[in-house]
Amino acid sequence: MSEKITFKELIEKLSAKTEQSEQSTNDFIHELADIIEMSLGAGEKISISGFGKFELRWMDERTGRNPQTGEEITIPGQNKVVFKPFKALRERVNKPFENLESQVIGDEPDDKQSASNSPVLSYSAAHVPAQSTTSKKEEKPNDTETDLIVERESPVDSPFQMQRSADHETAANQLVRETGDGLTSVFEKKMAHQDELARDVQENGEFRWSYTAAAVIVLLAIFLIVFMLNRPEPSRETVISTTTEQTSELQSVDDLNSESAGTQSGEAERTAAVIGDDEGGQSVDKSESIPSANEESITHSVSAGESLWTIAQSQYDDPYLWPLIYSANENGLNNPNVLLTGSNLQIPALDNPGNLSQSEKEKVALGYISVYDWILKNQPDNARYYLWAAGSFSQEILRDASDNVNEADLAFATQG
Amino acid sequence: MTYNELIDRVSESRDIPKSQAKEIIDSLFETLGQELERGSGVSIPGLGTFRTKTKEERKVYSPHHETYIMVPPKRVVDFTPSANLKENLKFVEAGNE
Repeated sequence: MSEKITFKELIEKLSAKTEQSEQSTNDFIHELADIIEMSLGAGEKISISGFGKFELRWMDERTGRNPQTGEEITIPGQNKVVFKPFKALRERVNKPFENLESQVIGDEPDDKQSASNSPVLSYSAAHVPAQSTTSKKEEKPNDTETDLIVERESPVDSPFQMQRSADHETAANQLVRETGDGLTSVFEKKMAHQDELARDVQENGEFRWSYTAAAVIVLLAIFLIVFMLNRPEPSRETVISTTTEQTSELQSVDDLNSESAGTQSGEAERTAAVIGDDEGGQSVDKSESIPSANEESITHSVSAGESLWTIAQSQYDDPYLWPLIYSANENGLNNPNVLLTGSNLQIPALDNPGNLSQSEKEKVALGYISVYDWILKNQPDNARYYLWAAGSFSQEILRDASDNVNEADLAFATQG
Repeated sequence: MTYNELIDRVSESRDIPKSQAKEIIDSLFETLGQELERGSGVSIPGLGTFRTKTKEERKVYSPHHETYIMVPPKRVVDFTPSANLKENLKFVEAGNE
């Protein structure tokens, strides 16, 4: 994540400092590396004062897996070169965070609960597309590298409080740079926000500005593309927004969606209302607000550009759970690829979407079966993928459903 | 091997005065330290790559407090030995077993 200077730049800096030729500095460092290698090979540890120490550590034999084939292999015991920074270096490197201390936060907080609730709030606030732009802008640095855990934590208020010190300003600036590097921490966002006004006035604000400008440009570009793509074929509205928010690994499923949406010419007229006119869309289909059988569920109002996929992403942190929402709203939805802006969806509550219980898995599998039924009627060639997905969540449900499915599809689902 | 021994060896093999060897090694690691301090990194051929890595804040169970604590984010040095160094030393009978 961090930028690096090249070895050449290092040599240049060094030779300027020591007034040696670049060639001899280069040779010197190579010699130094050789000596360190020989010394390590002889079983020695090399301590560099004020920096750290190098040593060889013996790693015992262990079993691992070939990530490509999943085949189990034995990794033989081997030496590993370890560098252990000394305290002085550790402290220097950790300067941006030096004022932070661990804080007791009591029992394990119920972060799933807040995680699943807060997106609803932000969605209702961001009903108009223009507003959702601004809310996305703030989260922009997040989107790139955040892992799931951090996303879940984000609604929790960070317990850290910054103790202001003399070098507080420097620390803050370093933090902003880090944020640009893709670092995403609740704490830092908070920090950055606190100092926003103060920094704007100062020259140091240029870091922030460049990142903000970049984020705005990227957003504009995305919107332009989405807008352009929308024009020729309005019925793709929901699908296109899906595509832009997904990573490439999700492409295959997405392709299926877009194909089926594309061929739904009968739906095209209704979807035009989605894009053209929010109010029009609301009046088209009132049946969508039929409550589901599930007792524990949240009502979600669909805003422009959303699809079941994106809603599952925001509600559960896992877009693949979208059939769960589909099955809960099956009565009101004619086509899982088409949502009407302003309509209400029931979002079944999950205890922990990252770790589904058996019964939840079965519900998701049932959702996939429902999707399968729909796809089978409309896009029979693609239906087998959904059957396979149902099986991946629950084999039992797949077996139960096996009477009503196409045999070839079942064969595909069970073998793959 | 201590820092002084390292300087002795390098000055011997390069046939330069110890003071000069010390100066270069000092400034090498000083420069490295500065780069790491500002979040940058350097690759040194034949040795490896030094860079910084930022660890996110995280929740852990603290047996001392007997409850959960929030550990603040932290930036640490990350060293990856060069492929050459790694391979050459892989099966040497030297690791502290």
